[in-house]
Amino acid sequence: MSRKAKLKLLIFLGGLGVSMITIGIGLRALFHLIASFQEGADPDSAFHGFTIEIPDPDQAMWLSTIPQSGGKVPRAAEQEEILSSYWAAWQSLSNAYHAGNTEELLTYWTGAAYEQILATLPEDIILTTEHHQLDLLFFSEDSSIVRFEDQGFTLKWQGAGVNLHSETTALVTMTLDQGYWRIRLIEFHHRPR
Amino acid sequence: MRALLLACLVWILTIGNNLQQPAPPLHLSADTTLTAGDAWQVTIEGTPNQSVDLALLTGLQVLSTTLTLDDTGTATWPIEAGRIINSGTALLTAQAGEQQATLTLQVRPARLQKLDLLTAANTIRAYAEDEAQVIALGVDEWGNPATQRLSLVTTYPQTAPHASHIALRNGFGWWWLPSHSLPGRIQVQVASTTLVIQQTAGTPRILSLSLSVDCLPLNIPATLVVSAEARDAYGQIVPDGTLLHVTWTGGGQGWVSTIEGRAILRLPTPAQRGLYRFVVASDTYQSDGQWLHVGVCDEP
Repeated sequence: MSRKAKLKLLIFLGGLGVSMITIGIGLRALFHLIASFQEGADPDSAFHGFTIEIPDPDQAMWLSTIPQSGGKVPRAAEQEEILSSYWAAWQSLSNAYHAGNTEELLTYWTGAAYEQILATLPEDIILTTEHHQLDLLFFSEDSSIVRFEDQGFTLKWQGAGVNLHSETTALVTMTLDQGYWRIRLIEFHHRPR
Repeated sequence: MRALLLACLVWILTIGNNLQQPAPPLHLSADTTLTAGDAWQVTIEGTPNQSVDLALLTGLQVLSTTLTLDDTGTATWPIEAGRIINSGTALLTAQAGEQQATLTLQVRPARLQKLDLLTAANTIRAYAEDEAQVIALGVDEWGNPATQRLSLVTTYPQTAPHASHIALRNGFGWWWLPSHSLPGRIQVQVASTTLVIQQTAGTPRILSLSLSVDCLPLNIPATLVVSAEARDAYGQIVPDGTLLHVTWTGGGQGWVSTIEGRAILRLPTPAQRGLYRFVVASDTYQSDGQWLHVGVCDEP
């Protein structure tokens, strides 16, 4: 074989190798693309970023999930959703009182309860609560209305020259609205600690 | 020596005086019930000229002030109307140095101002065969859960209005609304709020079927119209959207949905000569069969 022919063969083999590598990378990218289409949507994206965070028992817990005044017993998942939203409602309230951040209030408070909160919203207050113990009173047949008593939780209010501690019971009605449980009616009964 | 004795005497008298007249404890007196939005006042009694910090926790609102007791050891904290607006139990705390006093105040909600009626079922089956859970949520002018006995008027289709009462406690009341009479609208009225629940017919029990023709010529394109009608056990037309199952000889089948109790299925001429039996069914109920002859048809 002449030198010229050898050179041509070398160039051909080199070109073949580069082509094989390029085709390999291309096919790999194509398979990856197809696979990503077949995986479907990220399940989290269907929940609008809402995640259920179950509070610690010393923060909030169900005392009883047997409805005292009628309705049906909520499923375990529904109990968790309600408990999580109720605790989140208190956290959103603490944020609003302390930092003036009222954006989250609308996620967990609605109707008359929301308007009451907004009407009396103080500034620069540290509001902390713990030991919420929920006793179910009512859960509607269509799983959209829940009513419970939050028995004897600890409420601390600090700021503006006032330092208060109370043991508080709340009568709460929450409604399921666009996928979120929101406090709609609430009444507080405070007593000294 | 005389000065020392005098000083001792003064000291003993001072201590003695203090022992004889201990500082009076803080005392709070006031009406312990009021209606949300009303004016209220509390009287504080304690050591004359003493400074007292007061804080009233009502709902999630705190009203606070600092007062100085007068020469008789008394002061009054008047709170004007429209300040104490949260119903429930309010807690008043008075603090003067190490001394503390508390008082609880029952705040009643004002009269009902806004009522929402909600239902867990917008449609129920008629003829006293079903019921709907109805829930009332009511608040006063301050957004407090209202407590009140309310008149309830229920009007069923083709019947006179029926009056009764419901109790709204802490903003909440619920009851079962049974169905009654024929399909139509049930109107529920509480205060100025109205709720409408649709009362529908039952499931198909009486089914009938008809064919547009009883004979179709083979190999000549044509359309067979199968008409089905469904009524419930009381002879009322079934709710729109009720699905009916049409089947015919040879394993043919199709699903149709009713509008005003009727449903229509259009079919091409079957490919094979013969006698075809058509039936419409729902659940375990079905119509009489109707026959279609495919082949040579007599001239009309």
